[in-house]
Amino acid sequence: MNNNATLHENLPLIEVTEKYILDTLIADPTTGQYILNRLSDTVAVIWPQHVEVFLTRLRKQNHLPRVVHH
Amino acid sequence: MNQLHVDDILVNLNADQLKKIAHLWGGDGKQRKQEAIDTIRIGLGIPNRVKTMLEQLVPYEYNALAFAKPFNNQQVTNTMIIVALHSSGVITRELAKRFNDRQTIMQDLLNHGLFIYKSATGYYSNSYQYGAAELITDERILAQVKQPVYIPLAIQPATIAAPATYRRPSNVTLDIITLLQAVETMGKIELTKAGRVKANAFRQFKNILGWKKDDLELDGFIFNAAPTALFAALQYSSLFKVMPEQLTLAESTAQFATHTAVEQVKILLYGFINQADWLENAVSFSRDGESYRAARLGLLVMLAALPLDQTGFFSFGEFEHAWFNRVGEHFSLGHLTNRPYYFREEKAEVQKKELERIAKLRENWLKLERPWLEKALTTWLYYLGMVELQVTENHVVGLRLTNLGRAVLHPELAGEMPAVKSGFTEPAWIVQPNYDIVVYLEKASPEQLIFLERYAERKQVQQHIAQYQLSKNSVYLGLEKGSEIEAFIEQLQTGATVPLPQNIVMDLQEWGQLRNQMTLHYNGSIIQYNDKTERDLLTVHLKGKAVGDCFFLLEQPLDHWQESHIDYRKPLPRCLAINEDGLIKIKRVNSDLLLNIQLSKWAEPRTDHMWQLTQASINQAIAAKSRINELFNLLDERLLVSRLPAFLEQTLQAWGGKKLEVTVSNITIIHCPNVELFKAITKSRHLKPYIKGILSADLLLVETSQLNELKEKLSWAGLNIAAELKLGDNAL
Repeated sequence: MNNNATLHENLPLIEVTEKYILDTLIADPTTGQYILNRLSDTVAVIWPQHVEVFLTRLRKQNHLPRVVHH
Repeated sequence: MNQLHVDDILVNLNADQLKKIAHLWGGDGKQRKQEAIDTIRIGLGIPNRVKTMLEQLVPYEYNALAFAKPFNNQQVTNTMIIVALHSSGVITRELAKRFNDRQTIMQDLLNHGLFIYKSATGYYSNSYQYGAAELITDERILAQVKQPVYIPLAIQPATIAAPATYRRPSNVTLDIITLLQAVETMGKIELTKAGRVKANAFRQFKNILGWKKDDLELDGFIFNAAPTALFAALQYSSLFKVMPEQLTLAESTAQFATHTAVEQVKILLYGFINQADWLENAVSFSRDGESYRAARLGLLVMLAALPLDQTGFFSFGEFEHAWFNRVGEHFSLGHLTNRPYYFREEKAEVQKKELERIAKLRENWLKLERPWLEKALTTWLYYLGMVELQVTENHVVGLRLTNLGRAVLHPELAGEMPAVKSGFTEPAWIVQPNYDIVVYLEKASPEQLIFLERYAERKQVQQHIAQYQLSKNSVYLGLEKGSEIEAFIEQLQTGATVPLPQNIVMDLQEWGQLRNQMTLHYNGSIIQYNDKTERDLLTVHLKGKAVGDCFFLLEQPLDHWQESHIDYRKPLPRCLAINEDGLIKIKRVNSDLLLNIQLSKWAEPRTDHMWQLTQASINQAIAAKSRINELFNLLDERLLVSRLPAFLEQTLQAWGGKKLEVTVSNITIIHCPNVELFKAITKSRHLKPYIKGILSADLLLVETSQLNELKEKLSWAGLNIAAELKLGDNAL
């Protein structure tokens, strides 16, 4: 029994391999405005209602994010 | 195949009709209704009996079934069957004399139970059925029907000095695959409640294919409104499954590619014939879809009736005249004048009138059907690679079937077509250092074409080669459909006739690495624990990875979870309370991950579970380009009680920049409960300068600065002035 544990489902998350990549995304206003909060050095939560716009911005900036639909 | 058995439908037909139908199955024509039904049912249930029945049919009866078969009991009409029968030549002049009109031919077919009419009001075997009706037949009969009989046209190839053009099967396959991939990208096609494709679905289809114009230029021919035509052909082919308010592909592009070119073209061919959303050219006022469908089927039959032992070009003029000779008296895209009834005219007079009538029909045919025919040849038939056309001054002057066309219309000749290439067995392209790919279409298998369409952008297609270009974006989008860079590079190399340039390999590997650097979990699942120790202990058996101090990112969603759970696709839990002072309390213990960030935008934190709205915090949010309505929406979604306190709502509006005014000043109230006295005071010219306003039926407002003067006047009037205000009913 997981007392007080909370499962957050259908939550858009960005995961990167290096800390500096997420630092850059957050620092850039065009992408940072869609990043809700940082859970770790390499994982952050994206505003659910803006995930498509965020994805478009990433691609426009020549990032090639692997998009995973669970 | 639409698995239609007519067993349960037979009971809808009348007894006389059933007796006639049962006769075909061995009945004696005198049976009662139920006996006749049983006879028919038994016959249909025994394949050998069906075979025997079909062998006894005369050519026009057999042909009627053969022409209906490809449509799988979908929207086959009597016009289509009649036009096809005449076009095939099996309705000879002698037979046509016996049949006064199309209804007589249809009645014959209905009497034998080869077809039943299906309309909105029921099932019939009467050719005089009014209203829109379709012809249906039992699939056990259709299953054994083979090729129709064609009476070859009595025309010979002509020597025509004009250039000829046709589309190769590989070009046709490539184009059809592109259409299907566009639909796959869409996922599903939404329909309106009336079953029509939604306009935005069609727009999306065109955008994916990059079609900006409505017309398509094909080797000099203009395929008018090609996107509409091709979309309609797909929609009305067997490629789609019809579901409630949507269409989906019945098979994937990869599965479709395993069909032979003949099978692929046939699927789309019947889609073109079936659809009425697009017309070759609207030659008549009625734009009757049924007539155009019948014309297309008739044209197909005429092409099948071209002499097979001749490989030269036939004159277009002779071909269309031959068609007129077969169907001109029985069909028109416009209005068809019926054959008059001659009563007691001399034979010479009848002959004269008949010649005039035929001449008139021919004159109309040249205006309507001939231009339509040319358009049909230069649009969908040319697109499908079925015809080779000779053109002079923008007009078709000669035609013949291509090998593909012959194989489609005469399956017995399908062996003449080259075997289908499959897989990546034969190299078919060269990848150049500038990212261009030159593809040799004759060598490429459908799977290889699908591969290139997925990972590269097509630049141009010629008769024998196609040019594609690789880019970071095209490769990325191809990988996103479910692959990895190593597998892609390997397949690209396998299909190449020479080794891949080194710079290409290096760039592709670099693009692959870029993709591995960043993952967007579109709908991730993450568990939040109290602390690291708890997380590490409780996730031992879960698949995923630890994130930060207290999170665990799952590889897959969990099937069972009994603890607190938040689904970010649904409205988030209401968990806030707020008072008139703007103090927000978070009432729910495990709040979602969005809430604190949302509140921090508008309010100042007080404790873990309390936030305070202040003018400063609101101003800060407004200065950061937020709008006060966003706060109202947030509170509307999250407050446990649906409405904000009214005064707080006004406060937030004011802090948000709305101009709300009140006036505060010193004023004195005079309470005068005596109605007569109150009236007298308010009407007094003497006292008027002192009265600021009337508050209610017994309250007056007076300037405080003039109070003493007013008191003197009221005292002089003998009035008793009390110091304490007694409001009574006016009190709050």
